[in-house]
Amino acid sequence: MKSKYIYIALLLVFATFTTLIIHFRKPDVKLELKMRQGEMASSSEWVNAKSVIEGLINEINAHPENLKAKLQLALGYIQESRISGEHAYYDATALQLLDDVLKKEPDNVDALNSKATVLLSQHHFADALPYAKKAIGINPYSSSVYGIMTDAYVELGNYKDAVKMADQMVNVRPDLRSYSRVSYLREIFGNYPGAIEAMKLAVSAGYPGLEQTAWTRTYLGHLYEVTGDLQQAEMQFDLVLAERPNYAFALAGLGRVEKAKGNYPQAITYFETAKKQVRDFSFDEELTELYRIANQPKKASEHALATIDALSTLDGKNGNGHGHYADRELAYACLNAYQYELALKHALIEYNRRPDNIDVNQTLAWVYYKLGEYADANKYIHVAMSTGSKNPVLLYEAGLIMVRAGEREKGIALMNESLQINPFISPLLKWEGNQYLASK
Amino acid sequence: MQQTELKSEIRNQKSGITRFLILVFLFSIFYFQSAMAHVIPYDLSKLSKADVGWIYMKLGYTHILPNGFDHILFVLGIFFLNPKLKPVIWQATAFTVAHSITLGLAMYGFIKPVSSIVEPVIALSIVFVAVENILSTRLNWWRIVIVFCFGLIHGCGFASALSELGLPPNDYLLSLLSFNIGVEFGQISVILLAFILVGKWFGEKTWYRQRIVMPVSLMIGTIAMYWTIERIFF
Repeated sequence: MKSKYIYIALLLVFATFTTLIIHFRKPDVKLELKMRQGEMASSSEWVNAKSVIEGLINEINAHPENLKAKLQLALGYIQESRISGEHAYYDATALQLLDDVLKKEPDNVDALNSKATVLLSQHHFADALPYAKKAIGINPYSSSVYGIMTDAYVELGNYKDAVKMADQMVNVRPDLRSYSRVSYLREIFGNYPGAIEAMKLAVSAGYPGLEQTAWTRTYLGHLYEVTGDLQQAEMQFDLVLAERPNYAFALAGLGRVEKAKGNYPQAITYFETAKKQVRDFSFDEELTELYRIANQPKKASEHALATIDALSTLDGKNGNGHGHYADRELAYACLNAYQYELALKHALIEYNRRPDNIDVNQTLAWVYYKLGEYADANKYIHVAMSTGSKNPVLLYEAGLIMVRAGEREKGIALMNESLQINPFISPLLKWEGNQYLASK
Repeated sequence: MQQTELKSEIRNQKSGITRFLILVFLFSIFYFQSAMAHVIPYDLSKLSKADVGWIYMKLGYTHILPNGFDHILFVLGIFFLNPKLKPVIWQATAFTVAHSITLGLAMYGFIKPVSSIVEPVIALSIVFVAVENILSTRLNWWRIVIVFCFGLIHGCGFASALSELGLPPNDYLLSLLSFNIGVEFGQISVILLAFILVGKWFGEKTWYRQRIVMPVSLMIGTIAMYWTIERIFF
C-alpha cells in the first residue's frame, strides 16, 4: 500500500519535472541579426538589409503567426548567411522559420524552395531534393527550383539529371543563375572554353554591384586562374573589388594569383584580410598551405589544428552548430594536420553519403594516397575522373596516384597534361611529383 | 581498543567507498562528454547486405557499450533493485519493445522527437529509477509499465543517434533492424556483466540493499540529475 503511494508521488514529481523541461527547454533559436565584419559593415546595402531584417524580427516577435514575415526573414537570413559566412546561426534559424511556415502552408512554393536552399547550404543534398521536387510539381515554371535540383544532382553525383535540370532552367529563364549552372557543368565535363563562355554570359546578365554578380565574376576569374591565365583572372578579381571593395572571395582570388606568382607574403595578407570578412574554411585550407610554403611550419600546424576544431563544431553535436555536414572539408583539414587516419574516417563518412560525386571520390582517393594505399587510391581516382573533368589539380593528383599504383606512363602523361592546362598549380603538389620523378 | 580499530577501519572503508564513488562520478561526467560520436568508416555501397547488417549491429552495440553511458545507467538502475535474471529480462524486454516502436516511428518520419525535450527526459527517467530503487524495497508489477514508457522515450534518443549516422537508402530496414539488435545485445551484455560481477555473488545477501543498492542508486541518481540540469540549461 505504502509503495503504491510512493509510486504515485514519484510519478507526479516526474510529470512535474517533465512539464518544467518542456517549458524551460532551450529555445531552438533566438531571432537576431549578427553584425557584419570589416568593410561589409559600412556598406549602404548593409544599412538597408539591417533595417529590413530588424523590422521583420520586431514584427515576428509581436505577431508570431505572421507567416509572410517569417518567410521574408528566412530569405533575408539565407542572403546574410551567404554574404557573412555565418552559416551556423543563419541556416539553423532560417530552417526553423521555414518549418513554421510549411507546417501551416505545406504547399508554399517559396518556403519549399527556400528550405531546399538551406539544406543545400548545410550539405544535406539528398534531403533537399524532395522539397525541390514538390515545389516543381506545384509550379514547373520557377527557374530557381531547377537550379536547386541541378545543384543537388551535381553534389549527389547524378550528372545526367543535373544536365537535364540545367537545360530546363535555361529554357525557363536564361539569366545569371542558369548560365552559371551551365558553366559549372561544362567545367565538370572538361570543357573549360565552354565554361568560360557561359560564365561570361552569366556575368553580363547580372546587375552590376549585386553580391551574386560579384560572386559570378569571381568564379569567372577562378576559371581563368585554373586554366593558367593569371592576367585575366587578376583583372576579373580587380573588377569585382572595384564594385564591392573587400569582397572576400575576390580577395582570396587575388591571394591565389599571388601564390601562383610565388609572392607568398602578399598571398597570406590577401587571405588573412578575406578571412576577417567572411568565415569560409577554404581560406583556412589555403592559409595552412601558404604558411607551410612560406616556411612557417609552426603557424601552419597551429592553423591546421584550429581549422579542424572550427569545422568540428559545425555538425551541431555541441549545441553551437547547426547540423552542417563538413566531413569532406574536415578530411582535407586533417590531411593538412597530418592526421591521415582521421582524414580517412571523414572522407568515408562523406563518401557513404554521396558515393557518385567526383569531388568526394577525389578526396577519398587522395586520402588513400597519403596513407600509401595506392590500389584503393587508384580505384577512387578513376571514378573521380569519370566525367572527363580537366581540373588540373585532379589530373595531377590522378597522375601521382597512377604512377604509384603501377600505371607509370599514364600517370606521367596526366601530370604533364595538368601542367599544360595550368603551370601554376600548388607548389607542394608539384614538389611531390618532382620528388617521385627524381627518384626514378 | 579492538572496537576503536574496527570503527576506524569502517570509517576508512566508508571514506574509500566515497572516494571511489566521487571518482566514478567525475569519470562518468568526463567520459560521457568526451565519448566519440559514431562514424561509419566503410564504403557501404560496395558491401554485401550481410556486411551492412553486421556494421549497423556493431554500431547499435557500441551505442550502448561503451558509448551510451546514460543507457547503461538506466539498465543498471533496472537491474539493481532485484538482481535476478528473470525479472530483469522481463523489464529489459518491455524496454526493448518500447524503444523499437519509437525508433521505427521516428526513422520512418511518423514522429519527430525534439531532442531538447527527449534528452533531459531520458536523464530524468534514470533519476526516477534510481530514486525508486532507494525508496522501494521490492519490485512491483507496474514497474514494467513504467519501464515500457521510458523505453518509448529512450527510443527517441536512439533515433537521434541513428539519424546522425544515416541509413543507407538501399538497406534502410535491414540497417534499422540490425542497429536495434545491436542495442539489444548491448543491454543484455550490461545485464550479464552486472549479474556476473554483483548479482550472482551478493544479490541474496542481507546487506545487499544497504551496501549496494542504496549507494549505487544514489550515485546513478546524482549523475542523472547532473545530466538533467546540464541538458536543460547548458
